[in-house]
Amino acid sequence: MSVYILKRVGSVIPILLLAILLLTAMIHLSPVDPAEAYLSAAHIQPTEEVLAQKRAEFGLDQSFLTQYVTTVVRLASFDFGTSYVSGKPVLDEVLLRLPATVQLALSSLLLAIFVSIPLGFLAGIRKNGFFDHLSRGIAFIGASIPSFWLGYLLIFFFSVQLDLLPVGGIGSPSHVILPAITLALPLIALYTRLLRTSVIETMREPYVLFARTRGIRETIILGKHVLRVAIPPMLTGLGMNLGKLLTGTIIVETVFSWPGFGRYFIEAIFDRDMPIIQGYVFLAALLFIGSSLLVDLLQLAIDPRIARKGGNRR
Amino acid sequence: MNVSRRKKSIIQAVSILSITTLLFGCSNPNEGADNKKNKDTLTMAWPRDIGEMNPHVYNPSQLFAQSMVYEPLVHYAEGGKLEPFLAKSWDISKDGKTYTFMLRDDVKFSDGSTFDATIVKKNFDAVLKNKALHSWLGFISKIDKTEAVDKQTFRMTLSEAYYPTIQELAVVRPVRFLGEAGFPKNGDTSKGVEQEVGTGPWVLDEYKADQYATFKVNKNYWGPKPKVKKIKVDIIPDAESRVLAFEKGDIDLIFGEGAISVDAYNQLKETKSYKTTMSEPVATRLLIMNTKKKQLADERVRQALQYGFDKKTLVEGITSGLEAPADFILPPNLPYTSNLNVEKRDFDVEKAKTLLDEAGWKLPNGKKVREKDGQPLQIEMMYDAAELVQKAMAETLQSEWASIGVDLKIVGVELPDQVQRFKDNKFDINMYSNFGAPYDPHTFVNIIGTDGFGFKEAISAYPNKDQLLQEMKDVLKTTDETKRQKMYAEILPSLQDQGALVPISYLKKMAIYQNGVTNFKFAANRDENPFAQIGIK
Repeated sequence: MSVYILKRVGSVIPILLLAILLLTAMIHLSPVDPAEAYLSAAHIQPTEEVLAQKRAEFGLDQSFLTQYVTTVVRLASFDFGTSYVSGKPVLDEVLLRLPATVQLALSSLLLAIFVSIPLGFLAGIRKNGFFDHLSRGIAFIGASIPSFWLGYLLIFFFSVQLDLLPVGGIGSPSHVILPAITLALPLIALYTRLLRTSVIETMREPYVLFARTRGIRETIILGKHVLRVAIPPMLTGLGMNLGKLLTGTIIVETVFSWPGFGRYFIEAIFDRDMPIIQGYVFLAALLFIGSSLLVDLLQLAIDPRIARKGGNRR
Repeated sequence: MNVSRRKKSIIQAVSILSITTLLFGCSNPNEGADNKKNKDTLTMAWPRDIGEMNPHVYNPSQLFAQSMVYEPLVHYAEGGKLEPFLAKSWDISKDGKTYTFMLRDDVKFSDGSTFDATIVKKNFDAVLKNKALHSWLGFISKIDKTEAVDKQTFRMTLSEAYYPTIQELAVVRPVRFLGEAGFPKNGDTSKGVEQEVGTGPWVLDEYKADQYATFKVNKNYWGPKPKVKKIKVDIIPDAESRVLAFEKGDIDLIFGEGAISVDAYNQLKETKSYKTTMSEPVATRLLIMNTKKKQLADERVRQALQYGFDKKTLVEGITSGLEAPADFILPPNLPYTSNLNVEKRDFDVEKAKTLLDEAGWKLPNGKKVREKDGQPLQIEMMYDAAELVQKAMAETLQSEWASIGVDLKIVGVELPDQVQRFKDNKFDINMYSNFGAPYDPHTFVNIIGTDGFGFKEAISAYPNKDQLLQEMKDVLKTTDETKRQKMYAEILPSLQDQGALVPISYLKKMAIYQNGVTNFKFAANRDENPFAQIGIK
């Protein structure tokens, strides 16, 4: 088991190196000179003198290889560099905004879990029943409405028309409701359908039939035999989507003026603030890799068969 | 209690705990974007965090906010008039190199300390520590010496005469004044200030990064006291969300260039529930034709293209009145730009066709595009793909010019890419807008006359190019007002009449505010805040 874990963790390193290579290449591939982007955003007339000074300051006058090696060494020691725009360390800028993003993401995740487990379960045990139709409706909406538009609709009805909730910002519990719903809806759509399928499949298993013939109460069958077995596949889906949750915050935070890292990332893109963009993409890569690793390990804990096979998954 | 029940209750407790932590976690319910209806506080929406309140730095500090806290020696007033401000008068030596400023003696910083020549010098010296960064502002790189002659007299000596000095002293950054308590020990403000101490009517009161900032009245303010006690800036990055927050009544005021979409502006205006206003022109949207390109080297073609589109319909149709059709390459409310004698080129399809015929571009039978020596009359126009107005204008020009036999290809590019291609002379026609007040007209002629911006090459087919370039250099060194006016009256019309620079529209700022807001007035300086006498009922 420990060999398996080591192997999985070890495989992360080349992926990260590749990610950093792509990040460094980004600066070179972009037709836009970050130094010039900085100046035009600052209403400064870009004279050659100022441009040269900014390029040297940003380290853009170095070769591709030098930039790549420097970046790897920096990131390995968790030094993300300095923002072109604010002149502050990227890590400070990130840490300032990360708590808000984590708060939003976790609220959405909890909401998604608390809604999709009962809904998916009920939809699964009564195929074509009321909850099945409801979950299908939510799935359609969740999968097809772009989150920015859903955000506007929610603001329009619940804030402007009904005056129940704030338009945006952070502060009170009421502030988190609309952005969390916006971010959670696509996840609810996905998880509900995953759980529903899994429940339907499990209900067809021989041991369920056997339990029924033994005369065990239906509620116990559903709770103990069906739900417990049906949840792990959903867990995989959940882990795979943790990264998606983070990227989803980019739009939701912008629409709801939520002072998190996702919205800051958008500003950084407009400003061509490369260190911030690199920091964000690096962290997102870490999160994607980390969450899939976590799911694998969780599976390992839940399903001992994986460990017994020496780490080979089904 | 059996094991499974205990397990269950632990799970329940943990989930309840985690939810409450999440909801209340990072925050205190009493703060945030909720605005109690408070008649003393004006709440405005702004797309970005206001940044550091340091008078000597650029991004991410927001100009309007810097201008609330820090003040200039000279005020840029309507029509480009330069008025005394922290300097009550000034004297320029005959050779145009020595500037002596007599400072007001009743000005105090917000912490009660005195504004005098010593602190003015200290600020200038802090700016000059980073001369290269500020060199875009012409007079900065020409400063040889700064002196505090006596308590109320500050003197600055330049290496050569440079008339726009006074005008450039009106800009929002970097030549505004920080109080003594704001300076770090080494005197270098470029890495940050200790305290945000200025002479302006406002003091930064509360600040939450990316959320909001409030400004309160500076008790020591020397000028007329503001009418509202506080100004709160809510940071709302998304334009549609700004509109929704405004409709809900959380926001009293939205202003700026393109602060909200044209559609949203007109929709809110039509409800008649709010007040809306547009500023005087702040800059001009221009077409720049590259006379280095074969098709556009002939002045008759450039003129034909001007006659070939209906400017009024184009501008009004696309911007719904948010921009005004422009007759001049610079708005006439800038210094030296009024009463210029330029040739008017109104919409005239027949004239356009005749000019193209004369230039040798004939329409072959059965074809839609004119040809000369077997080559079709194809022209490419680039525009900023992110700017909807530019895109719509490019599309309209494409269809208008098609009717005079010109095949216009339009290419949307990213803004920095657009700037780069312009510099590299890789374009036929470009969309451009100038800097506006308080930077023009001198910045405009300077950019045209300097290598590396793209203009110099673009006008290279002008027969009087060399003379024009010389005049554009000389005008900046003039010491005589009348002569200067005369030179601008030659340079600007000559640039425009030969057709490489085509005025399209005047850009304006928009403002939309609740009925309770009184005395809203745009500042003449494009970057300055409009809060001078604003009130709220």
